[in-house]
Amino acid sequence: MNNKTQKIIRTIIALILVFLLIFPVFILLNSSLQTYEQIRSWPPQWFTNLQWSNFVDIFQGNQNILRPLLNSLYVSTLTMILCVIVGSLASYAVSRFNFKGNKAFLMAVILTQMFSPVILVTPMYTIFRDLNLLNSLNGLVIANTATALPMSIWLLYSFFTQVSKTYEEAAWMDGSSRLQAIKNVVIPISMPGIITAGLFAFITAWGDIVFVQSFITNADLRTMSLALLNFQDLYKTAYELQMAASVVSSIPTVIIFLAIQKYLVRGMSNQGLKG
Amino acid sequence: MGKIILENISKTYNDEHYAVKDISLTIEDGEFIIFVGPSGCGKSTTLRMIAGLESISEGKLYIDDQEMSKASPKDRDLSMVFQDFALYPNMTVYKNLQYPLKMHKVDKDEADQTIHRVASLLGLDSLLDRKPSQLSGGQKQRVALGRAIVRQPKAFLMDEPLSNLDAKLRVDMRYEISQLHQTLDTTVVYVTHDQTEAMTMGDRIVVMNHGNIQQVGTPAEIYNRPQNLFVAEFIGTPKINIFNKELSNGQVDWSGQQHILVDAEDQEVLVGVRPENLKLRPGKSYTVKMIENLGSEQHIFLDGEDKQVVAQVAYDDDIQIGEQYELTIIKPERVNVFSAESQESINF
Amino acid sequence: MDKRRTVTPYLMMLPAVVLLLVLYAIPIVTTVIQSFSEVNLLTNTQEFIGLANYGRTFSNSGFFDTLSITVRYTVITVLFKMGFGFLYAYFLSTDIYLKKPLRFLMLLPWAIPQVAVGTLWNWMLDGQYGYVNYYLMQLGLINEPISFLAEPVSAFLSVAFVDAWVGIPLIALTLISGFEAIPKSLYEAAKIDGANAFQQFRDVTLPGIRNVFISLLTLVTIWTFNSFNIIWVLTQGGPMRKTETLMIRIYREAFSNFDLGISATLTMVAVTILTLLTLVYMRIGRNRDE
Repeated sequence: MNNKTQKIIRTIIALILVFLLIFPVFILLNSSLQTYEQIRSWPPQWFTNLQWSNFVDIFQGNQNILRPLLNSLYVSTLTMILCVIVGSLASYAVSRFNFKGNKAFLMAVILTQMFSPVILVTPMYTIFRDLNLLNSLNGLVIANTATALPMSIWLLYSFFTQVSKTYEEAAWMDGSSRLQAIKNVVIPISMPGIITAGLFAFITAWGDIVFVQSFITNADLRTMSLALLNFQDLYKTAYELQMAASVVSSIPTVIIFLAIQKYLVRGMSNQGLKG
Repeated sequence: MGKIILENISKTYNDEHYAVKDISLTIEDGEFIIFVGPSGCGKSTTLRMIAGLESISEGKLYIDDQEMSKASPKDRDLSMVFQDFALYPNMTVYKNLQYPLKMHKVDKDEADQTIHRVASLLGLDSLLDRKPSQLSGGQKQRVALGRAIVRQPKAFLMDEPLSNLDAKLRVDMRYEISQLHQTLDTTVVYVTHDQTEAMTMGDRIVVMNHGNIQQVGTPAEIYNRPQNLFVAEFIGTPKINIFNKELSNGQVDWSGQQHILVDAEDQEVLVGVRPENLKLRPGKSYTVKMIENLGSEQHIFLDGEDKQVVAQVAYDDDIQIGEQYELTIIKPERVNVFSAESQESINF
Repeated sequence: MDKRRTVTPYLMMLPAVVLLLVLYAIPIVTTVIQSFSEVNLLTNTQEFIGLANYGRTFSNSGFFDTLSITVRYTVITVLFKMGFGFLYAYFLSTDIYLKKPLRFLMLLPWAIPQVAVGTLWNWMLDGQYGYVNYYLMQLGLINEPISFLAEPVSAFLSVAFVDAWVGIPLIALTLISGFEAIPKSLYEAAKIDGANAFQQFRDVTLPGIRNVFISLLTLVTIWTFNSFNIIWVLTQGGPMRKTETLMIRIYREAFSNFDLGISATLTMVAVTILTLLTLVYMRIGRNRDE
């Protein structure tokens, strides 16, 4: 067997493996575009009689997902911004200055990663209740920041340490102040890292179930996750609409993954990331 | 103008370990001065203290008679070339060259003219739109130099600028930097661990070790009259030969036939003889172990009773491995004699 | 300037430190206090009762059922994740065509929000019309449709499988970078020494991936121990509490039974276990650096 045949065989195996892995995704797409009758018929009908109207229907009626979609965007975007700003400041300091508490801080960041939202949600509930942050989108932002911030700090830290300090020193020598050097040199160079960390925070908030279903009872404040959960309860049988809504909720995250794909490994090679 | 004065400058970490200890030095305007020494000797730290990238623990720094010990880098009006070039990867070559001018608020048209002048001086005209990642090592080096010279700073600081280049390019750039210095006539403070660079480029050399200045002098002074054993051994390839001898009655006996005159008390001494100052004559004391033929000359490695010696001879001398010789000093007046105890020179 | 240099980093870290303190330290302290108290979420009362919560928890046989389910769930899911993750990583790091698009497609299960994953599998595992039943019957593996999420054993395995499905991409991705970090020259040296493909795999690939694999294994164990979303969306711990892991139990005690004291006590147990796992992880990390 020559090398080329071997390569083709390996490619075929990989193709089959990946196909099997993402087969459910095809089912998701297919089901989102069918009628209720089609979806229940055996054998499955693949991508025939496409019901694009499903995607119109989920934005209509009093269970429509427009409001949850906007709420999710609001919570995720704000979490992202908060994590990027707070995380960048801290990781820049840790990666550039040699000071007391440096190591301890990083250690604490790693330790916080073992706390899942479930462990935090109960005590947070009592605290948020006293602070009037239940049934508040901003309260959700704060809670999601708890889960996303350590990961953002860790990602940013590993990116900043990869940016050679001499770029900054060169900028100082060229006449920049510390702030100018950060603005003109450090931030542009670290942009991929900052974007990656930010989008990770976005995804974390986007996928949250625990906080939203514990803190939010007001129907107007539901996020996509909660809307999908309620969808399941309310329209037990309208699978095609559930699927359409699921597809809509997946679009932002899939696009984000496509965008940050090449940085995923780099950021994680330093470990300490939530699954 | 660019006169730099270092006055009793020290650098400590955690108030204990001295990276640089009590250095005083005056660098004249327009001078090309080279700090050389093994790694960890404090030469880079000294340069970075001049630049303002490292704080000065003790002592004072003056640039053009103004105290700058605590000034931030941007206020010192110096420019620097880094070992890894540190070209801004997010900017084109043009933007890299423009950046220092922009920071010093130079008028845009004027800046444009300067950039093109510098680009043509360094042969960068065709590269102005490239990003640093699209440049070869030599091109990056040129852009880094360009970025340092686009404005007229008081001095150029260069931190091992050639160490990331291959051997051939290093020789070319050595020449180019020297030329540039002659054209611009601006003070250059240059740090290297490569003594060949130091010998070929500098007006003056500062040899450092363990955070101290060992000797300051012209290349010729440093080579011919090293003040101590460290300088003698650090400068020159192949390395200087050191012989343990006895000084008595104002002379050192060299294999019974020659005498080196030294005006000092009787003591144990170390005699340093450069390889090119040794001649081979028939004898029994040394056996040829290895020959390095460099084309223009040969390095002959010989084994004696208890030590290895290297001699540099003309390329056409017919010498074979295994042959036995005696060593003669060609010019006894150029031999360096050090006190075995203090390792300081005692004959100059 | 020196003074500014020492103050600046602390100022920059201040927001992060404050946030982490507020979001982690205060909840942890609150949990510790609650675990020694009788707390009712509905009446909003709190009363110190010493070790009573711990006594109640440890004397309750349900607690040990939960622990046993958690351990079994973690072990099985981690096995699924690591096994498949390794398989995918291996084939996607060898020399193949279409490497980049295949690697991206492989990420999809991870990229879909977990509620959507739950919705999807809920439907796929449906006892009447689910496609899983259809394909299993086509393959002749079963004779009649199974209500996967309604039977204890099938529900347990289904949830573990779906959890693994979501986790495979991340593990494969990490292992791929581990595979690619093995220097090509090692394979070339092995080839010159006469090693065949299998021997190269055994003598170069496996030792090369070992450290990455072990530290990833601990991390994945921690993550799986923390699993909540998938189980919650698929079964909420049912049927008959047979998929109720410690995390699900902690949540239910607080938000279904409104007994924060017991929930906090269980949280203390979880934190203890997690701390031990984290210590193992950090220890492995340290050994790796040496």
